[in-house]
Amino acid sequence: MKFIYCFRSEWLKTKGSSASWLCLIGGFFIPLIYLIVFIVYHKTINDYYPFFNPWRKHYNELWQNMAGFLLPMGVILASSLIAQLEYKNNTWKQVHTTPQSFTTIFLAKFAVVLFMTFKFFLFFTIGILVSGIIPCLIFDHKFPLVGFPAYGFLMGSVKIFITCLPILAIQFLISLKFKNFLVGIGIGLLGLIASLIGMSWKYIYLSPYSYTAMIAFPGVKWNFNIYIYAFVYFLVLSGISYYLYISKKEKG
Amino acid sequence: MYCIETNNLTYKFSGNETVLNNVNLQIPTGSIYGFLGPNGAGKTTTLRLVLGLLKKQQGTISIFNKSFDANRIEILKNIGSLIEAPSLYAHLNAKDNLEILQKVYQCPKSRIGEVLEIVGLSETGKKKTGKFSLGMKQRLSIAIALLHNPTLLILDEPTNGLDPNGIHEIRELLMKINAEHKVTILISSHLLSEIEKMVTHVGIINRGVVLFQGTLQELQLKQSQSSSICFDTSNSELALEILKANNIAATIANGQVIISAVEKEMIAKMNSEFVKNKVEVYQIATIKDDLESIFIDLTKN
Repeated sequence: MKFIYCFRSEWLKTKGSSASWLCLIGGFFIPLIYLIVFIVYHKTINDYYPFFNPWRKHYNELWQNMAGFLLPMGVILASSLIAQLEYKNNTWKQVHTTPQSFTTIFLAKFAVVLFMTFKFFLFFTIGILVSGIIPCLIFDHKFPLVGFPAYGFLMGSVKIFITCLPILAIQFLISLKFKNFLVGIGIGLLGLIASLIGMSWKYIYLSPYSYTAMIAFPGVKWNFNIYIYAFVYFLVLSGISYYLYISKKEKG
Repeated sequence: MYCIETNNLTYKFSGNETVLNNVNLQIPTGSIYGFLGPNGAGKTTTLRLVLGLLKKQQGTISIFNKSFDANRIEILKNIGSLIEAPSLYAHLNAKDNLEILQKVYQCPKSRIGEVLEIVGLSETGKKKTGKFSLGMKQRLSIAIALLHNPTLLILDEPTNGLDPNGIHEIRELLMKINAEHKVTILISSHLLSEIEKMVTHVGIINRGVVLFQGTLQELQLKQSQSSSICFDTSNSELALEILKANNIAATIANGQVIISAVEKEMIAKMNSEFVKNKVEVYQIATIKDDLESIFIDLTKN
C-alpha cells in the first residue's frame, strides 16, 4: 500500500513536466507526419501493396522510423528528466525526510519511468491506428479487408519495449548518480551514436544502447535472443542503480 | 523530557575537516529552541544529521525518546522540516506541491487548503511555484512542513528572504502553533535578534562546538552579568579614587566613570560616598550588553 501512495505522489511530480510533454509529442510525432502525408497525397493504407497486410506494413514502417534513433533518444531524455526532477528542484531533502523507506522511494521512482515509457508506447500505438483510420474515413476508402493483427501488434510492442529497458535502466542510474543533467544526456547520446555506428561489430550486443537499433534494421541478423540479453542487462543495471542509491552517504 | 537528544555527535567531511565536534543537544519537549551560530558554524549539518539526510559517523541521536536509526520511518511521521532553501517543484502550483506530500502522509485533503490559508497563499491559484518570490516559496515550504500536523518542527532559517512583516507573521504563527498544539520547534538562525522574541531555549554553536545551551533566561542572566554601571559626576578623577579605595575596579570613558555590574546596595553606597566627598552625581545608568553582542562575543572566541 505504501508503494501505491509513493507511486501516486511520484507520478504527480510528472504533471506538466518536460518528460510528460516529451512523451506526448514524441508519441504522436511520426504518426502525425504519416497522417499529413496521407492527407496531402490523398492516400490511405489501402494504397500499400495489396498482397501485404496494410496494417502490418503501416505498423512496421512507423516502428522502424521510431526505433532506430527517436525511441532510444526519447527514452534517454525521459528517464533522465524524471530522475533529475529532484536535483533540479533541490527536493531530495524533502523526499528523504518523508516517512518512507529508501527502497519504496527507489521503486516508485523507477516505476514512474517505466510507466512513462509505457505511456509513450500507448500514445504511439494510438497514433499508428489514428493515422491509418482517419485518411480512410476522409477519403471514403473502406478499411482493409484483411484482419487487424491486434495480437501481432501487441507482441511486437512488448518486444520493442524490452529492447528499451537497458537504456532506461542505465539512464536512470546515471541520472540518480550525477547532479548535472548534461552528464546523463551526454553519456546517453554518445552511447547511442557509438552503438549505431558500430552496429556491424560482432560484440555490439554488449552495448545497452544497441538493442532498439537491432530490431529497427531488419537487415541485421543475430544468432541469439536479443530480448533475453536486453532483459538481463536491465535487471543487472537496475540492481546496480539500487545499490548506488541506497549506499549514498548524503541524501539531501 | 527531551524531544531531541544528541550525544557526542561528531561529523567530518572528506579531508578530515571536523564539522561537528561532540555536539550534545538537549531540546525539551514543547519548547521553541533557537539554534544559533554564524554561517558555516555547523547548524545545517547538525539538522541534516538529525533528519537522517547525512550518514551518522559518531554519536547517537534520539528523537521522541527513540533511537533515530532504529525508528526512522516512525519518527519522521511526526516531523515537519524545512532545510535551507525551499524544496519545491517549480513546474507545479502550490496545491500540487502540497498534494504530493498529502499522498505520502495520507492526511486529509482539506489540510491543503488549511495550511495554504495559514501561510497566506490561498489565492495563488494556478501560478507555478517557479514564479513565486523567495518569500512566497519560504511560506509554502512552511506550509509543507505543517501539512501533516507534526509534533516536531525542524526549521533551518525559515525566515530567509522574508520582509520584516513576513518575519513577524511567521514568528507569530510559530508561537501560536507551539502554544496551541504543543508542537516542539527547533529553529536555526544566524541572527539572535530574529528569534529571541519567540524562543524559550537557546543553543549557540560555532565551528562545530556548542558554546552555550540553556533557557533564554539563562542567556539573559549572562547578559546582566556582563552589563556595567556608569556614573556621570562633577569630578571623574576623584570619583575614580573613591571607587578604588573601596576596591572597585573602574575606568574613565567619555568623562564618565564605568564599573562592572555590582549589587544595587553597592551602587547606593558609592553614591553616598561621592556625595560625602563633595562629588556631585548627575546620573547613574546601567549599560547592558544586548543579547546580540553576547552572541557575537561567544562566537568570536
